[in-house]
Amino acid sequence: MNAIRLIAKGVLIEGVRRREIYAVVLVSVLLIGAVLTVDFFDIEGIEKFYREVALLVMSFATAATAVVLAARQLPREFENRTIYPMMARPVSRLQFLLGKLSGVLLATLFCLAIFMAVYVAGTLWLGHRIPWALFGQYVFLQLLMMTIVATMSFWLSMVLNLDAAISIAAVLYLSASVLSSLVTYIFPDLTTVGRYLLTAFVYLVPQLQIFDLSAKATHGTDWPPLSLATMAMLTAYAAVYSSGFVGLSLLAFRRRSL
Amino acid sequence: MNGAYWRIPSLAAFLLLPLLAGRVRPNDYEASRRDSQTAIERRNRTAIAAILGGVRTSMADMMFVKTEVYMHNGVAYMPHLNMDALSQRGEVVADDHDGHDDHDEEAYDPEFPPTVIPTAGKDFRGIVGELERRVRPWDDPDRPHIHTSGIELLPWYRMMTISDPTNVRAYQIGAWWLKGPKPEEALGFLKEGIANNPRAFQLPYLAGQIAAKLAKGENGETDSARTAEAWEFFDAATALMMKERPEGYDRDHPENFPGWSEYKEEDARGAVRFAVYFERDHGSRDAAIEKAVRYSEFFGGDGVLDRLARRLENED
Repeated sequence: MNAIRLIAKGVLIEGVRRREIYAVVLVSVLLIGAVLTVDFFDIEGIEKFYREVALLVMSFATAATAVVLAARQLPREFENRTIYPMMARPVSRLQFLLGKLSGVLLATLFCLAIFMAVYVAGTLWLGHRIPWALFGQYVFLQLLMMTIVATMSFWLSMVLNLDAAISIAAVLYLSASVLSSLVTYIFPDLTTVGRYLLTAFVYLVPQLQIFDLSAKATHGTDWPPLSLATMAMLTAYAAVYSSGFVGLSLLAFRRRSL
Repeated sequence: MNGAYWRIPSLAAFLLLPLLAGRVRPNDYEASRRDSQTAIERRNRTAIAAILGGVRTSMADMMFVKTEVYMHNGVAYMPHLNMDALSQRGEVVADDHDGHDDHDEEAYDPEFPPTVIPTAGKDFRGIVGELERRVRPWDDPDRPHIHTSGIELLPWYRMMTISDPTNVRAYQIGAWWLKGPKPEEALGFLKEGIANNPRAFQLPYLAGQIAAKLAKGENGETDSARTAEAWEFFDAATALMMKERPEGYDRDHPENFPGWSEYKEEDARGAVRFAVYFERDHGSRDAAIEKAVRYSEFFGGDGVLDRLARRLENED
């Protein structure tokens, strides 16, 4: 446990010190700020627009941080040969992986926390109401989504080269909503074999859109928070897929000769 | 290949360039996706527009999807709102089935269109579909829709017109929502639209209506500058419309006139009627009669204008 904590701490410190997170946050905040400078006729009651733009940019930026941080952890260790002294210590490969993963998740949480602080401060400054319960659930589901994205990026970086891993993880994240609508739309037109394949796709590939509460957070005043049962099911879903990806990563890691 | 073979046609093309350049009219340029509103909406009614939602390449197309989602409080239905009615009268009404791209043809009801996320009975994804229905804004499509205010959409229309200043429909709908709370800003927005779309008669027509409303002061006094402005808008709208409306347009067979629609026809008739009313109220009776007769002839007969002309002729 101590080994995992130390490795995670190292990844977090590196992530925080490298200033990439701050750059991502700064660019995102500038982008949102640029949108807010547009003259929208000085009209009241347009907070949905601000909420949607801010949450969209922040979600993308957090996901980009998670994907890049996670995908480059292991390849860089091999490339710089820093993995060899690490593995010479009494640290198992599982502990090493979990430590790296925990560090990435902490760095992602750090990034998300900055964003959410900016979002809350901006919303309150504009005098808009925040549906706190829904907002809290949004943040939690973002973390669950980022856990899946990070573990998936870990596994992809073990079986593909770094660029391909980042690209595939980013595409899966960005296209989650589109793919979800697409599969339900084309399903009735497919043959039996096609339907089996599509069903397999739905259950093999994590459906990230089910963690996206941003639309309800945007139109928040009229939507109640999710029930505890729904939150528990989503947590279990994330746990299953994240564990699966960690398992696959470990399998690929064990097959690598050191 | 011997170089002489391609040098001759190249030289000929070069020498012909001044002739070709003489036919170029830069102001006639229209972006590739700026085809008629009818064509845009036909494209947007396809399922792919609903599926791709916000990632459509064109911001102008995104407006259509955003409008549908915002008006339903975040619930994504298959696109079904009548954008003509929205831009013309500010009405949020369902469209008929024409041009829809649905799987379930028999079950389609324009008042109860299907949701993008299907109902449990039609969703093969089991628990995944159930979770998506709980997490994303979703409502049973068999329940009556709740339409929210369009004010919240105004920033999107502003963004659309910034990204695509030739989007006449965005100026129209945006000005419709804006003219209630902020008529001055609505007029300014339309003036920007007119500057960017000098051939769209609908914009000066709507601008004329807003200016005419602003011309009437709260205490019954008339603002002469505003009146003159409204007059200019109506004249401009009428002149542009008369240039654009296809000759011999037949309301019984609108399909024979692809560049024109019944909604445009209604706007066209509305523009000339407003021009005549305005002439009657702020100009001379004789000029109003002359305009009513002339415009009615232009349309091959218009009951409203004919009645107005008769009534004016019978007045003392």
